[in-house]
Amino acid sequence: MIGRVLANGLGVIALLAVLAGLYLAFFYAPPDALMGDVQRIMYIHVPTAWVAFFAFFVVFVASLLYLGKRWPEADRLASASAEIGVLFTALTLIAGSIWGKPTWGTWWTWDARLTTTALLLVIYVGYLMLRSFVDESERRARLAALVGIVGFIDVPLIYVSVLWFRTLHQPPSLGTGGSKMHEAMLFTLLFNVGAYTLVYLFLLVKRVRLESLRAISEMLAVEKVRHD
Amino acid sequence: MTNLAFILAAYSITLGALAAYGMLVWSRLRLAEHQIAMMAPPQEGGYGQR
Repeated sequence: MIGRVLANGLGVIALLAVLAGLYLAFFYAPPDALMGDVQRIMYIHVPTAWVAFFAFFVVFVASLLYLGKRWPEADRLASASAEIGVLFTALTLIAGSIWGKPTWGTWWTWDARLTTTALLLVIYVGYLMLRSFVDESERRARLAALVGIVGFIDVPLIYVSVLWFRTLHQPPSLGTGGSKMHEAMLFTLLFNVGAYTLVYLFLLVKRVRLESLRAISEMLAVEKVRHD
Repeated sequence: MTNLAFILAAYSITLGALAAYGMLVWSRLRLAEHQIAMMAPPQEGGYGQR
């Protein structure tokens, strides 16, 4: 009961943060000197990309934990985070494509950053398909953990793709070397990154609960078969 | 398409998809809770039960 109240409280805070982030993106941050207002897409494109990478990092850590300790909770966390990560990766590609049309003149190009991000989506859609194809829970968790760990290799590749290759995509907006962005733009971007991270955490809590309920449901079904 | 149309498209698709996913998870949760309530063995001797 307390857990549900806390989760719903997190949902309310996430919703308020997203609304505040929208206000900052449209009314506080100045338009870009070169791209104009269309650059405001960055305040949703970069946060969704960040959340996608974070979600797959959670899958990576939870998968390592599962293989090391065989905790079913770690497998449920990985499964929940992977599904949310897939959604955020798809949204990153869609918003990026919409931003690409007015700035690059094309919806899509086989540029290193875009291709490695599309590959990330394919890897984790494969991860979810694998989970749905294998019936035996122990085997499913073990195989999924392997894909979750190996698939994460693509995330650092996406980050360095704009540094290692000649691409249309701009260099990282946020990085270890600081940012050359206008203060108001940087604040708005970081605020939105925080807001969408809260949305991710809220969805993760609910999604993990769903996985737990499914595990209970499977257990009850087995008990019922034994009893009958 | 004007710049405003691109901005609105990006924001409405992203926020709409997140809201739809939230609703989907919520409905799957309700369904799972309902299924467990149906499968769980009946409690005996509880208050208010006949």
